[in-house]
Amino acid sequence: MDRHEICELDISQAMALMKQHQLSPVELTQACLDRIGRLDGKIQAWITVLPEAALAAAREMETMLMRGGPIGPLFGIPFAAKDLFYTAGIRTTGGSQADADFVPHFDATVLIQLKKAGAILLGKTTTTEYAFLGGPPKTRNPWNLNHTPGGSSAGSAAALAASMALFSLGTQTAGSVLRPAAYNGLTGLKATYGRISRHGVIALSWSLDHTGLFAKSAADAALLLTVMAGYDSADPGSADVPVPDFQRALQRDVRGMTVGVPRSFFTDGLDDDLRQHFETALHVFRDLGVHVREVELPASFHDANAAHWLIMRAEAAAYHQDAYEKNPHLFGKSISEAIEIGLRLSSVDYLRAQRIRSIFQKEMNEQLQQVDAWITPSTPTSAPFGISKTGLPIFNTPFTNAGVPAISIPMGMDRGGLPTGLQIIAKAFQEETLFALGHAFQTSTDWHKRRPANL
Amino acid sequence: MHISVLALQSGPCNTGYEQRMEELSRDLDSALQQQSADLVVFPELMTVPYKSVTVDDTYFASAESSDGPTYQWLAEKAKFYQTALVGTIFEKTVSREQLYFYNTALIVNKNGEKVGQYRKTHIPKISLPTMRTDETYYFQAGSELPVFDLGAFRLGILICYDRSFPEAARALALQGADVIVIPSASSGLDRSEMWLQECAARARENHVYVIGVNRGGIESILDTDGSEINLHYYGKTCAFHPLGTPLTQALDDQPHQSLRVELDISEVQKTRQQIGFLQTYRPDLYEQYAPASEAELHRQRVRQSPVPRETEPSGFVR
Repeated sequence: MDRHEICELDISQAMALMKQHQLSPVELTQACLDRIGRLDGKIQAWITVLPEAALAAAREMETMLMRGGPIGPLFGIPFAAKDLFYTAGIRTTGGSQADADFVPHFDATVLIQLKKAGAILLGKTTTTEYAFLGGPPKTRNPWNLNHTPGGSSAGSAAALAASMALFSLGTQTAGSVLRPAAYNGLTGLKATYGRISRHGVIALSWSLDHTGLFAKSAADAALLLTVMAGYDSADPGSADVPVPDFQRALQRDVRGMTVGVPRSFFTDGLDDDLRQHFETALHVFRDLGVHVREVELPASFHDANAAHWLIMRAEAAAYHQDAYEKNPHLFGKSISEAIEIGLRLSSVDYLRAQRIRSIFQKEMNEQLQQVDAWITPSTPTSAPFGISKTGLPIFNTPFTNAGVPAISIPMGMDRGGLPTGLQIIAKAFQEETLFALGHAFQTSTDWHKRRPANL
Repeated sequence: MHISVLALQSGPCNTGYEQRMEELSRDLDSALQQQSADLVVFPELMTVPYKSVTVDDTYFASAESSDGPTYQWLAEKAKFYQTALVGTIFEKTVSREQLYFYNTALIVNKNGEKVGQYRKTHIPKISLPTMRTDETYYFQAGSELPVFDLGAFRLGILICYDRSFPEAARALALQGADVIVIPSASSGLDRSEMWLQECAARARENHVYVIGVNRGGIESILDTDGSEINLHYYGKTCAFHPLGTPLTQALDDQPHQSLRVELDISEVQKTRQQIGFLQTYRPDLYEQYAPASEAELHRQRVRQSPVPRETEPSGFVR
């Protein structure tokens, strides 16, 4: 197996080879590091690469493997973390000049969980400034370097699409995981609000922030969520609910399930390729025995989007206020504008927005009770041209706003050779439904196995 | 008062800086050695290729300061030929330890002194089937629409995409501009008629002379995947009277040509007296319909959204 093929393995393939002693953890980590060295000049997905630390961890794994020691569920799997996750002793910039030299003294809770499971951190990836909509990094889409990889989790998505790691971490406050997942031909997961800890993750907007992940398949995502989920008293938003083994959901029969397709908004003005991919995807589900029916948007849908807009800015302003007032010139244009707007919002506007959101969450959950899941395209277009803007999160924002879980899975390639994605949304804490449907779709299709050529 | 304006339709930029400046010198020298001019105008980004159709970080290395080599060149040429010049650069500037890049026009008087500069204010990101560009990757937007006194007349500048914003041309006319020049790097032959119509409209609605100056010919840009993007500049360097009528036939798409026009500046006032769009202009009226800010729109929506009294703000799913 050559280095390139090693990097293209998914998690379960790599684990199987390592258990059979056909692949060593050092070989796997080195292959990813080599690929970063070869490709990152043009992709620019990484802010910090940690070759020594990653190889040291891999050597430790190798020793353990030779001794027949315990093997964690992510044993020797190299991954990337968005530069929003605290890493003890390692610079964590948030993609901002304002935190260019910030070195946390502890690891984010999810990093502790992943390392405990045997995963190896390769380094930190780019983000738009403080994970907001603007202030994009120079990261390019591996499928076409003239296009954005999306954002805010730009580097994590591009790094995985270019096979520089076997999975990666992102965050989503509007559409920062599902949108880049769709733009890069990846499986992206945003679990229920409170499902994964955000302790040690630089905040954008507390009541909206979600920790998320990028994987090569729904099966890998199920494994990762099983490791990453769980109550964390250090995160005030964390939910104290049982964590199932999400991999079991992969075996679930989807025959007889019902999915809802919103009658409006998510299909308005779609381009021809996306519309066709979406129609074809619905046929795939029908062939799997899934019932597809039209559903209505909650009455407060559009008001809730306006509420999200205000809440995100108010909370970002509250979080960054002190640093911003001390050093405004270190903050880029986009996040500065957001903070300025947030600082001028009234407390009553903020609270009214949160009340609207409570109504929307209730309505959204009621709608979701009538079916097993909703299905929409993940984005209105494939990755837009240019890298100065990161595309629209409008198809993802409502479900972030409602706090319900959503997954994006690849559903086609458009005429320009760019991937498109399908979004599945489930009831709160019903991620199993996402994995069951996503995995069934990926058993019938191979879009998730495509990787960019000519890199 | 009559002035003579020379618009230089340069060729594509398929060379490095030194050779490019030699090319521009040849264009300028051959036109001015025959006959002098009061004002010479070059196309947009005259010293560099138009890279906004791709994403190329090496492009930033070709940026220069507003008193850099191109300004020096313009100053020398201005003094030598005793003419005012509008030249264009990819400008680099440092402010509070941060680098900023602009798409800039420099205005030099006949003594070689810098009269001022204009930084393009409308930065396009366009994705049409026939034309895609993302200038926002390379350029910040300027924040001013200045006019420049050149003795006999007052000059306003719009750069390329700026021409599509009537408000920008209006702002220059309201400051008393007599002539608006529009340096451009516009490609896509199917768009050339629209370019002429826009230049004519900006002239007529503001009663100003408009001189549009474009490149001609085919420029090859290396794309990120190693393939070539061929930009076919449509040329069509043109000049319009304050009534919106063409002063002469526009040039075709061939490179290295010039268009020379004589402008009677008194025609500007004469036209304004005859038609007087600017006197009938109603800014207070339009102001009422100006779009609210995005923040205001969202705030209004939230304030108008019904919320039952017992609804508590949670922000959490439980």
